[in-house]
Amino acid sequence: MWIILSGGREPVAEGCPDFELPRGSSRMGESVVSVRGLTKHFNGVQALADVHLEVAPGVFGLIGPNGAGKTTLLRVLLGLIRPDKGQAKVLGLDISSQSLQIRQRVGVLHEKPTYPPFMRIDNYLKMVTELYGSAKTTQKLLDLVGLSDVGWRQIRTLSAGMNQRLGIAQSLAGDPELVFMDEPTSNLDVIGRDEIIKLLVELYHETGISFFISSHNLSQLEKLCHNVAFIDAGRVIEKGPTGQIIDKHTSGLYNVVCSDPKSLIYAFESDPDILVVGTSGIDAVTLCVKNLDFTSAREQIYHTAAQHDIELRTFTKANTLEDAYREVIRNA
Amino acid sequence: MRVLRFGTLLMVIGLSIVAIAAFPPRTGMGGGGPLEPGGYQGGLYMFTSNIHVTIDVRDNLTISLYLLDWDDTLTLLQTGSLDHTSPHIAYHNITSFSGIIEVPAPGVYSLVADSTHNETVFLDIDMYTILPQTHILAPGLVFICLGASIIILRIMYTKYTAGQ
Amino acid sequence: MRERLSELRKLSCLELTLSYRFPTIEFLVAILVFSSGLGVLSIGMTSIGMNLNPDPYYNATQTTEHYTEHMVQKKTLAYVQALVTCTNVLFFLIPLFVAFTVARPFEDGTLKTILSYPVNRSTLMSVRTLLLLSLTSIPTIALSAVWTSTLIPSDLNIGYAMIASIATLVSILMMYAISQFAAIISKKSSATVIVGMIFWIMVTTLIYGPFLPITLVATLNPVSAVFNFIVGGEYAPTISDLVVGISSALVIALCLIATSLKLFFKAEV
Repeated sequence: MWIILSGGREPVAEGCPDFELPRGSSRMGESVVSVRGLTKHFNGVQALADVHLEVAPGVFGLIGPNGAGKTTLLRVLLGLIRPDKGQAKVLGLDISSQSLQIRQRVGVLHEKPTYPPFMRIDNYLKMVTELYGSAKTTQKLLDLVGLSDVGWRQIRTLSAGMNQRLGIAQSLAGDPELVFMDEPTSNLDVIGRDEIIKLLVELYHETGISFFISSHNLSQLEKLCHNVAFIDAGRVIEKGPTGQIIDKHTSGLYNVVCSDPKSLIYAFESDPDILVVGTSGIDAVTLCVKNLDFTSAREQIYHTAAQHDIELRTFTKANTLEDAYREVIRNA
Repeated sequence: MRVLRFGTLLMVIGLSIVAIAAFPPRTGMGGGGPLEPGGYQGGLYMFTSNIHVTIDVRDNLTISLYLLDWDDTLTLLQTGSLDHTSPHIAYHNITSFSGIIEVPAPGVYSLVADSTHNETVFLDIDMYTILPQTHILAPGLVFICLGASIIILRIMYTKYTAGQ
Repeated sequence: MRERLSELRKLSCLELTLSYRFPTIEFLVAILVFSSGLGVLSIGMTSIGMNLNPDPYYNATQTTEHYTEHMVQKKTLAYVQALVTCTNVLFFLIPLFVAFTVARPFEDGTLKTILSYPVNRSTLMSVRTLLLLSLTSIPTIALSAVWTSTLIPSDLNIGYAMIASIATLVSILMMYAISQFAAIISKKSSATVIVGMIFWIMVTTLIYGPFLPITLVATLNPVSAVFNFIVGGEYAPTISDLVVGISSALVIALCLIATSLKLFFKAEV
């Protein structure tokens, strides 16, 4: 079944309420990425297995564990590797015959990117801009990513966060319509991650560029993406608007923090209505309660806990992308 | 940056040339043998610096020794005489010689001896190049100075413009 | 056409900045200045004995021609010796350069970054090939010519000098082709260097003596074969051996380069 992924929840960059993403409807249109039956093997190991995907304009997140095939899919779309089977189009252009035209219109930020260490930032950006034949000035790019004060520095002297900003700057050098980002925050600390997310949200607002972000950092993608797809072992196992996916897969899921999680798990072992999904923290347990609303579920759990002399500290609905992802992977 | 690299390139070329100048050239230059009356005995050599020459004439006989450049050597070969040549060095009526002969420029020279006797003269010639090979060293040093000047001027210019 | 040239220019700038940054070119030129200088001096310092007896039967023309020919041969030999010395050094350096410019970008991810830009793979490879060949062969030929003409007067045997220059180009091309092929097949700089070194040892040792057929020697190391041809001797090749050797080397090198380009076009990055 083909799904046009569009019009998801309203992602908000945490701590920066000014950067709410607009509802995508005005930007939605033709797919920016269209993948049909892509298959790829590496020395007998299946990296992509019959992948089908349609990505609408906006911010899209490809989520999966390490080795799931995210980077492979990205490399195939960029023409860096050839698929064994299947077809794909980026911005309506075929990846096997129009790779150069695709690369002219997209920007790329690879995972742990390598840039010439002894070059100055401004010189490197100038060179990349020339390669694209773009009219964008180096100063504008530096301003865009907040590196204007350090444009004279050699790339090797940059911190991980600055390096990632440079990566984003070079990905925007050719005035792209779509930017591919592979784990854009993988080697950053919390502050660095927040800065990059804030930057991406700003860029989306200012430029209207579509982003295709591959990551295993779910909290980050939940804040950013209109649409997401889960990929595991080379297969797309779920796809859709972020909000819908969360709602669909977290219905009846609750996180409980208690004084004795081991006893709580034991207490619900024989209960047919309440399923222990797993531990989600040192004192936290995720429970799945079917056929009960929030209040009834809470009452029943509190009651059972009290019977076993367990103190319940918090009871919240599990409704994050991470919860949904965990559920999808568990069911898969 | 390009100017600095050009300056460095000149310096590096200069250093390589200086390294060659310090390199001992092929030794064992020399010659000798019988010198017939009215004839010329010697050899064609490539000199890149002054040379130390030792000549021994047997039986206390005398010879004349000349250092000719390539053009004069051709004149000698064409005319069979030194009449129309202007030797760089000329020592007359010597029985032995040991000393440094100054070579004005790098190139091919002939060191020839002629006899002033009406009998065959036997002579032994031995020579070696004086290190460093000055005619190679000099351009090497010129390159180094040129490169260094370009680098210094460039740095001064950068500092001056930065100051403004 | 103009776009193509502009792309070539941009990629050349990129390649010069990435792979030939300070002091790579300076180091290469320094080595070539030294090698070509030593090559010329090693031949130039040999002496030619003179014994003139200008009696009535003295044949001035014949004698002058005799010595002039000697000088022409000496100058030509000095030029070829300079080329041989430089080429032998380049046989060692080219695998290192290819490992650095072709294989290493596969390993460190630079190639992935570059190929994500609108860069044509074949243009990128052509630029790399042209740059390396220009940076090695032009200084080799130019410096050998400068040293020879500065230090040794008299004329040069243009025919032999041309053959030697072509043989130098073919020798460099051959070494580059082998290294490039190894780099693209293996995508590893260590493998490229090892293959290059094996070939270097082969061409600098086996070519002396009766181990290999003369035509094969001329194929493996054309410039040394030209030197042997000018010097003469027991194992000297004939002109037909030279032509066959140089042509074979050229064909092998071009085939290897074409195959490498094809492989690079399909290479997974």
